[in-house]
Amino acid sequence: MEIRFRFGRGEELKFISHLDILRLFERAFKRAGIQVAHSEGFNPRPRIVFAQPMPLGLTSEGEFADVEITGHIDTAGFMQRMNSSLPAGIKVIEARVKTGRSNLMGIIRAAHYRISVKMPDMHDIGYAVSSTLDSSGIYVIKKTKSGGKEVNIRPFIYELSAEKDGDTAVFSVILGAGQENNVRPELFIEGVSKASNTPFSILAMHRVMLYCGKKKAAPGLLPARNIWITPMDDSLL
Amino acid sequence: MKVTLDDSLLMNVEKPARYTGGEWNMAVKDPGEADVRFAFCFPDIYEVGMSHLGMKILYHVLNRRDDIYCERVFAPWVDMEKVMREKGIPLFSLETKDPVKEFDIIGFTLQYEMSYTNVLNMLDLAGIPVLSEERNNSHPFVCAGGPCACNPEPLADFIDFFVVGEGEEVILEIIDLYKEWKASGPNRDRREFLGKVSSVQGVYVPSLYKVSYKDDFTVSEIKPCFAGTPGIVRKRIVKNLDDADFPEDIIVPFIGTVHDRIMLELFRGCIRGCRFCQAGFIYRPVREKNPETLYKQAEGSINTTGYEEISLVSLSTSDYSNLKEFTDVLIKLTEQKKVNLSLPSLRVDNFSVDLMKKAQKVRKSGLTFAPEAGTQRLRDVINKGISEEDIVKSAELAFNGGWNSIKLYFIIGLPTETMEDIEGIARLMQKIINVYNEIPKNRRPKGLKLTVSAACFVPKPFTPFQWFGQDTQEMFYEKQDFLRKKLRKVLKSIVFNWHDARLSFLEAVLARGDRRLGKVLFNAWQKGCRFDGWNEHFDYDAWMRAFNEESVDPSFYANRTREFNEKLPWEHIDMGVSKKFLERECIKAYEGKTTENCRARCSNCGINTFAGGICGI
Repeated sequence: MEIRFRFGRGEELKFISHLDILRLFERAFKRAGIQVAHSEGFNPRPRIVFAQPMPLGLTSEGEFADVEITGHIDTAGFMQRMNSSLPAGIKVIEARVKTGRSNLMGIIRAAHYRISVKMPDMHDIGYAVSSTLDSSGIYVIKKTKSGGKEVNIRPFIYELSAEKDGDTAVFSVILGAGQENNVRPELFIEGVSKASNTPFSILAMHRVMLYCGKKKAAPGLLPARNIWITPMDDSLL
Repeated sequence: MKVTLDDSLLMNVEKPARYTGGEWNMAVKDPGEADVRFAFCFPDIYEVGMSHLGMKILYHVLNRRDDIYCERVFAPWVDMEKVMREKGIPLFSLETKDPVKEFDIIGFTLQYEMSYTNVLNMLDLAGIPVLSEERNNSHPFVCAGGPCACNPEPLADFIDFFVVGEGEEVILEIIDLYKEWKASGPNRDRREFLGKVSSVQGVYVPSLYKVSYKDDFTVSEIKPCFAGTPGIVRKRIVKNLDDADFPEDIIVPFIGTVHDRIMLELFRGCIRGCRFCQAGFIYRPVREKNPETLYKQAEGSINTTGYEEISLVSLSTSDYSNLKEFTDVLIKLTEQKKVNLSLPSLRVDNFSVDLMKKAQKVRKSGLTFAPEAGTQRLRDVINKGISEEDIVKSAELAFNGGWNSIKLYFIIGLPTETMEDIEGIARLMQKIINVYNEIPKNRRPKGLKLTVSAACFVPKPFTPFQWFGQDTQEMFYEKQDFLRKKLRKVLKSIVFNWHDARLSFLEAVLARGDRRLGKVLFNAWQKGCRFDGWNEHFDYDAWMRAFNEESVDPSFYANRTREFNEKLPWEHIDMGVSKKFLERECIKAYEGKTTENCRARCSNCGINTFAGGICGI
């Protein structure tokens, strides 16, 4: 059977790499006594798929993974066994049985981040937000394997707001994510800095949720608008 | 007071998880509840230290007791050290992030001579005086153990007391004495504790001994300063490994380490008696664990760690008496648990090739052989009990078993070695290639890959070669050059690796050094030497300047052949094997005579006074 689960990563573990996270889960499954199905072939790999890698330094409460297990387990038992086998700093938050064929890596479109920054007292955060949203193009250098490439990130800043308290501010932003149009939070801050001519230094980055696109809200809710859906949406399981 | 490592600091160092702890199975205790806080210091980086079985054992043994909290400390890598020094962050433990300076006892493990400068550097980073004579009641006690502690003399100025031999029993006795001393009131005297602990078997307090030298700088006498101090420090062993505490709930690191797997210790000691091998002598007697004990420990470790690999650990796995019976049941377990079984230091024969095929789901492409010397004559000198036929046969089995890549370990600069022996390495390689070529193309693996690795021989204390003058660096270079040319003639594609002769020279100096090296070590460390075992940080010239400034001739220690009647700097340390036995073995070596293994026939090495394991009857 296949289970899709959401997990979070706290301060304790934000300095380990994506590869370390993979290994951590493989070992946690073994400790939990949940047998993961393995791929066939010369070098069998456990069938665990993660939605999106987590960069170093990022905390999160919105990570997703699919795991194929041999045998049967109910989702409550799954969560309970996993959470008693995971180290402090990693926690499974919800789990659902998956019956569809959606590929978790392929369906991610956006990510909601909360980014805390330090900025000069006299700069206005409202101006930083409006100048970002009002600009027609924000060009930054995206690191690629072959060096750097200039990209316009403005089309992939979907929603943005911010609050300021003294010399620190917190951005709440939904950015493009997934296999295409992925905008890393650092790159976004660089873009805002450019658009508003404000120096920022990042204090903390937190991923709130990963999204797979939008759907119409249920009728009766006002105002009627499209809402973001997560990989846990019924249509994707 | 816990140190704070802010995000910007951690984001700017390589692999920040080296410094953050919190791994699965880490011991979590309230430090306020512990009577004794013990900082286990490994003088190298996290990935190396976390691969060390001895630390896992002692961590477990200490933390089982509620009155002790043992925490881990590793050498910060150079990038982290720089930041720590800039920001005034003292060396801290991974468990509580408390400064090491606030601990009761600090214990270093000495696995390798070239980590000595890291010991000094870590003490300094901790804010603890590097020289033991400068420490007072406000400082922790600094102790050290591990294989290099069998000649503790080069570190005598820096370490308050050494633990000689196996630590898991004696460490608890030491801590009990410490508790007594700590409770004796605020006016307690450091020397009082050191005096008491010096009478525990296996403990050596260097400050309680006086070493005098002759005019030619050889040792004339090593004498206790006080009447009650034992003249000879006898090592400790654990008699029965089945009864000994062995950790199943080992820490599972987040980041990859050098040996990132469960290590199941089959036995201690080695029956072989290869004359160059220090481990083969200092870890005697051979003591095996029962297959039932091992199975229980394997199962427990797999369940509590979730590791995907388990490795059988010993000095020579093929010599475990119940290997077949044990691996038969172990393989069933590893298959059921989907855990890979790795089998290092296994002789390649019909049985082991079969076993490796069964054990490894993922075929590892390489096999390793250790002939050590290129000719039968020289292999007899070093008592490496394998023949050329064995080696060639092993290679044939490997090729037939589907392995295409073989790595062969050799040592150059062994006693009595001539250029003919070096050429013998190339001849042996030719024979292995012939074997490969004789196998029909459709039945052998494609793409033969041969690697020859040549270490420079470093004579070590408590071996039959402890008197031997190491080859000079020039001799090593000449031999390496000669071998490289000969190998190229055999097959262009042979990969040839060799050790840095300068590093092996220094290793030889420190391995057989005396107390006069303390000031050189101190000087070299002050010149910035640390991580000497790491190519990119090894600064040979700085070391040579340090020797020069302290007027100590390094070749006196490395290249000088000693007479049997010379008093050696480690003669007050008793590792169980007698000097007479080593002398006999040395003479036999030069005569090219071999000695049978311990199971075939006892060679009266002296270890039977410990009455453990196969010597117990």
